[in-house]
Amino acid sequence: MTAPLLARDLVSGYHARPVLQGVSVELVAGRIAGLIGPNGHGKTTLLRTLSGSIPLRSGKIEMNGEDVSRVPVCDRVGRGLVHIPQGDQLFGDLSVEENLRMGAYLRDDQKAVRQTLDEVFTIFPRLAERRRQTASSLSGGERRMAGIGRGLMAEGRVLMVDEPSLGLAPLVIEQIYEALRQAVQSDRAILVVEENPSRLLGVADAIYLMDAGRIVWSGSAAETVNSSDILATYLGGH
Amino acid sequence: MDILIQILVTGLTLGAMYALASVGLALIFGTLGMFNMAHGLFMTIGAYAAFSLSGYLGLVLPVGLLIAMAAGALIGVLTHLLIVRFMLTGPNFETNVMVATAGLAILLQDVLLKIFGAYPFTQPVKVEGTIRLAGVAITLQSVVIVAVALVLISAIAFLLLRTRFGMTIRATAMNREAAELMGVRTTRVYLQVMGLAGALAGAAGLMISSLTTLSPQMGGDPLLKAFVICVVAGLGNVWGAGICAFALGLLEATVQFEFGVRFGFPVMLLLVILVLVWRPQGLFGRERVVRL
Repeated sequence: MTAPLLARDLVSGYHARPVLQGVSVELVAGRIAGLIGPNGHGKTTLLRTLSGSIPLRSGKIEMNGEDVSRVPVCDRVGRGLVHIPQGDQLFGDLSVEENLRMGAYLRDDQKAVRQTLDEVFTIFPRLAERRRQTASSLSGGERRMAGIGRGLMAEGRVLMVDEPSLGLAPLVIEQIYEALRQAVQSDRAILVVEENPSRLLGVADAIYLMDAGRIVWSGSAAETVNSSDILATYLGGH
Repeated sequence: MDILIQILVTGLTLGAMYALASVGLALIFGTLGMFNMAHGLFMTIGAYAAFSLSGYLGLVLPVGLLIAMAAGALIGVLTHLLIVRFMLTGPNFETNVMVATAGLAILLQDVLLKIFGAYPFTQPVKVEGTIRLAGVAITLQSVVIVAVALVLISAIAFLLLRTRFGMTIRATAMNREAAELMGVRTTRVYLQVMGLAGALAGAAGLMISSLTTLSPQMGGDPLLKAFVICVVAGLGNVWGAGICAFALGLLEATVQFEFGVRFGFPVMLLLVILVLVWRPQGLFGRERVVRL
């Protein structure tokens, strides 16, 4: 079976400075993969490269065996690649419901969209209470819920979430991870980026450790606990 | 009473023309973040298109209006396809595109000068006659101008607020990158916005030329006033631009009547300076709140 998302030897970055220096990752349907690593080492850049917001310099991105390296952002979304960016990036003057509906922009079946909307409201009841409010009036936790909910609205086959726990209270973080756990279905793969690896240990099936633009270690969640590389990277052992 | 009605009618007519001109300008600024220096020429081209084509298709106003709007939309779309599109992702987009559209305006103005000459033609596409309201004679053309502006601006408001297409435009204006991540082809949204704003400008050009005359430089003054209106309203604020256009039209008519025609524009400019000192973000603009 081909991987829903496969990246090989990605090199990309901003202006003249490459950030990613040959990154390879493979996502598996029905699994959550975690990408961890210190800040400023290319985790967000990797997601932006995968979604197409940053052009690829070299390497290859495949979805279900099909090369999408040169495909523009909106068409990658059409193929089921959903990127939930850091800092939510909501449409501030649109209502919560309109934001969620924008998430389903490429879906034509309005009946199915309404059903997904109800599902999102079931996962995050707070969003249902706030559905008519503008997104800019939400609290930090609510905005993150709206961001995740908007990503779920696309019913994509690959979901990439950038730092879902950043700056949130533990209770809200628990709720958001519960939503991600529910979102993994047999045909959906999820990639979660976190700076703090402990969040991912009970959730992710596989962990990638990124340092200075490279994947320096990868393995299962169980292996992560025993790995000294993880500590070495975080404590500056290299 | 007569005087009041006269001022009201003049002010609303001016305001209607300003609104058509500035709503399009605000829409472009709000969505693409660019100041379209060629907007005045979009108006001029609309006026000339109605002038030269309606002779073949009939001099009735609806036909002339459609021609003007189609010509404005076409030039808007072409401006996007041939110029704006290539600058969007480059550095210093705001400055570059302003210089480029200013250059385009000069070029188009010279082309019109070459084709039609500098002779000020009268616009044949207009409604003749007057009606009397409480003893005051009102030209039918003024009524037409106000009606056309109200209908077109209501249509734009409906489009932006009540349709999926409008929601996509608003979302793209708020956050382009996020809109892309939803699967929106934002370059196409920009193309549509340029077409819409161009159509409004074309209609504005036809209306303006029906009260004054056609000349290659006729768009300069309305562009300046539309810019003033957008600044007073808050750059990129479409609703504010519509309201401010009517308010400034009424103000200009009052000042022109009370103090003389030559004081109309200076008072408008003075008002802009005051607004910029008192509320730099414009009357309807919001201060940018940066949140992490």
